[in-house]
Amino acid sequence: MNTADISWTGLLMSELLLAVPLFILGYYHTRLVRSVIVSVLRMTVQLFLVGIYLGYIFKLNNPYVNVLWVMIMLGVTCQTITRRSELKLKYFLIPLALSIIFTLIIIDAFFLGFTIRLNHLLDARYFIPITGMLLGNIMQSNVIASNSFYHNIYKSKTSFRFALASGATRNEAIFPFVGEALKKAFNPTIAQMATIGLVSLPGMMTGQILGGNDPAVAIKYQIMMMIAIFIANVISVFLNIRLSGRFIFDSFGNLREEVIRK
Amino acid sequence: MLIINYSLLIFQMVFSLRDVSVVFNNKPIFAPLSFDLSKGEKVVISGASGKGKSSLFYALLGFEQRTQGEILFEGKPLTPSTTQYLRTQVGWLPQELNFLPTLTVHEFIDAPFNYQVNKSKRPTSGEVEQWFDALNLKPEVLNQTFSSISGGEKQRVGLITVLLLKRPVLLLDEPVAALDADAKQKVIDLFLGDKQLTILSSSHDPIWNEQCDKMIVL
Repeated sequence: MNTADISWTGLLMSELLLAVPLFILGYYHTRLVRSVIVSVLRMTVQLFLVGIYLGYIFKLNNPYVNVLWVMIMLGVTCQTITRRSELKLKYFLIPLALSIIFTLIIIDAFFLGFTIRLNHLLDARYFIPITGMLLGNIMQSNVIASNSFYHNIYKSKTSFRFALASGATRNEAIFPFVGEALKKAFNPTIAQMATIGLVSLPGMMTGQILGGNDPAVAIKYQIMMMIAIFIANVISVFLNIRLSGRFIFDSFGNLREEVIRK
Repeated sequence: MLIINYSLLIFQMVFSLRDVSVVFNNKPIFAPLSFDLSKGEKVVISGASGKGKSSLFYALLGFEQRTQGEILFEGKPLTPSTTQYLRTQVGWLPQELNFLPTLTVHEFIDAPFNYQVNKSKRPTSGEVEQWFDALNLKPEVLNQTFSSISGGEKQRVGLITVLLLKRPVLLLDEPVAALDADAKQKVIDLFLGDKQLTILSSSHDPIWNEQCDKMIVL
């Protein structure tokens, strides 16, 4: 069974429906109308281009090209995390990229190699969408965690300094801030896991069912994906915070304030 | 013949400051300062608000990178390793006691004793209650959140934490500013009356300032 195609007119009509939320946002002077239009246009163009590009990549199915594509996604992820966390990319690029690469290697190797038992781990049809889903979620949790961690230390300077002045090592002084960042970053994922299927039908499962797959298989993929996402989020956030410490604290244990975009 | 043991002299010197100031926008925020703080001495820094008293404490603790001049602790300049040692010898009471709003007073007092260097000094509940009693604090305060107690209570809780750490040198930034006359006198007796403690403080309080051995005006 093939998925029913969407006609160009149907797609255009659905975009025209955006007039309703745009009217509401405009009526209340939210100043979001322009950004909504720009975002929708960007999304449409980006997805079209990615659709064309992915078509070629899937046909080519060359491991080097697949890895290159993932590296491009990684670059965009790192840039988005630092920009949305109001941090400077030059201080965070190396620790962030290293922590995400390490996470992806572990998670992809385990889930694609061991759980799905693929013969070729870098097979475009599995490697790219699954890594893409992981990256999307890693991005979200790292934005929340980085924002909470660095900005809380910056804002609660006295508290952080009091810990250092009381003899804490840097790792001891950041301990409560790490805990707070982890709590903030993973509460949404935990809530999502607890209500999945009841409140929302997740994208991967819906996609597989629409694509004509057996719902029993779709469910297994979804469970695997939720576990993979959660593990990837925790590992990447933990590594990001631990590795970036080497770059963003000075030798006296102080947060280098220039790392935060003010 | 008079023989001077310089090493003993240096050992007696806790802090030595030579032309120290903190630079902001390429200008020192206070005139370069030189003084020594010797063992057992009580020195108070006085001066109008915003003159840089708290910045001086940050500089002494290695928190202020815009410091100029030379700071020696027990005769050694501040480096990352000597600063780490300094932070095991010095107790600091900051002026602003704004900590995580959900933190209870008990958690606040207990937190420093989770650090490796202080683990062996963890106080018993009896010890904490004794200090609470000495500074007119009710035991119920222990279970309240740090953000819900008054400024005077915060200050006393901060002072108790510093005392429990049993550090020989104390840096106290406005230690009696939020206290009533009775509590203030108790703090003065407890801290300035202890011959063993070496204290560098900042204060606007005439009674505290009068009881110190030396006053430096910024």
